[in-house]
Amino acid sequence: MKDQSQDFEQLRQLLALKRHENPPPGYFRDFSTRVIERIEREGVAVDENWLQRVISLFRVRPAISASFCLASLLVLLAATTLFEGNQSASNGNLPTVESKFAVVHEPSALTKASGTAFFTNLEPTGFALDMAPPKQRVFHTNTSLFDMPYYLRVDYRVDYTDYQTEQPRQGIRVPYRLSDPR
Amino acid sequence: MSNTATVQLPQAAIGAAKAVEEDREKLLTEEQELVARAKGGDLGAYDDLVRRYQERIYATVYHMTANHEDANDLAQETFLKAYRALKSFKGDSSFYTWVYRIAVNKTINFLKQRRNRTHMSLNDVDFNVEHDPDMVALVSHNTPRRDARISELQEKLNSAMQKLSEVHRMVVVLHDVQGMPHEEISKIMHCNVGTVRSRLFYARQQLQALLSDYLKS
Repeated sequence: MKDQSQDFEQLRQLLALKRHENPPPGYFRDFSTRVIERIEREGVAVDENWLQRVISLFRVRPAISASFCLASLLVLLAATTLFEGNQSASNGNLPTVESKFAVVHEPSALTKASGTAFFTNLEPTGFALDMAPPKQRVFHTNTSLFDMPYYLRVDYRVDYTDYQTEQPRQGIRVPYRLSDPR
Repeated sequence: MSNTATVQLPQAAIGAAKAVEEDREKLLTEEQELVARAKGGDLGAYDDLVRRYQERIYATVYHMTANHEDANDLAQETFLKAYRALKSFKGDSSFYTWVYRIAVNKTINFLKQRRNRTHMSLNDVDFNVEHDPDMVALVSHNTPRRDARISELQEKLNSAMQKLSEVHRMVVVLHDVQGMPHEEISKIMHCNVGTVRSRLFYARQQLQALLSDYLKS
C-alpha cells in the first residue's frame, strides 16, 4: 500500500507538468472580450422566452427543425381537409330546392345600385363591371350536394333592365364549378 | 516557553483561517452582485465574471481535450451558454461551481462525439517548469524519465490521459492537476464523494500502468 501511494506521489509529480502547459502569451487578455463580442453579435439574451429557446434549439438541432416542419405541414393539411369537409357539410344543410335555378324575387340593396353585380350562393363579392344597365333585379344560385358530391358547382344568372327600352331582360345562366375540395 | 509557543500557533492559524474565510465571503458577495447585474443584462458585469474564471475553465477543457483550438471553442461556448442560462441560476451553488458544471458537461459531450478522432494540439510548457518542486523531484531521480525531454514527457502524459474514460480523466484533471477538493468535484460532477474517490483511484492506477516507464523508482 505504501509503494502504491509512493507511485501515486510520483504520478502526481508527473501530472504537475500539465500545470505548465499554457496557451500562447496574451491569450487571456482578449478572451472575455471575444466572449462578450459573441454575445452581442449572436444576440444572446439572458431573458429568453420560450419562443426564442425553441428557435435556438432549431438552430442547433436541424433534425428537430425538420421534424417540426413536417409535423406542422401534416397538421395544416389535416386542418384544411377538416375545414373543407365541414364547409361541405354545412352547405348540405342549406334548404334544398327542386329547381337548380331558384329565382330570388327580392333584390337586395346591392342590386339597386348601378353597375352589374354578380351573386352566387356565396357572399356577394361586389361589383365586377361598370356596365351601362343601371338596374338589375334577380340572381340566384343553388347547389345540390346530391348532384355534386365531390365538388361544388355554383350557377348564377344576372337579370337586368334594358338601358334603352327599360324592359326587364333575362340574363344567361352561367355554371361555375368550384375546385374539388379534396 | 514551549507552552506559550504551542498556544500562540493555533491562534495565528485561526486568525489566518478567519482572514481567508472573510476574503472568501467578500468574493462570494461580489460574485453575487455581479451575477445579479449580469442577469439584468449588464455585459460589463458578465465580463468581470468571465475574467475571474476564464483561466480555470480553459485549463479544465484543455487538459480534457489536449487540443488548444477545441479548448478555446468549448471555453467560449461555456460562457455563452452560462450567459444564456443565467436566469435559471438560482444561487444554490456558487457561480463558479455552476459554470464549471456547464464546462464539464459540454466537454464530456464533445469528447463523446469526437471519440476515436483524437488530435492533440498541445500548448507549450512554460519556463517555470524547471523551478517547480514536483518536476525537480521527478527528474532528480535516476530513471529513464531523467533523459526524457520535457516535450516527450508532455506528449506521453497527454496520450496516457486520452486513454482514460471521460469521467475518469475529468476527476484526475480536477483533482490532481487543478487541485480541487473531492467535495467540490462531487458537486460539479453530480455524484457523491465516494464515487469521486473511487474514480480517482482507478484513474491513477490506469495512468500508473500506462506511464510505468516514467515512474520507475
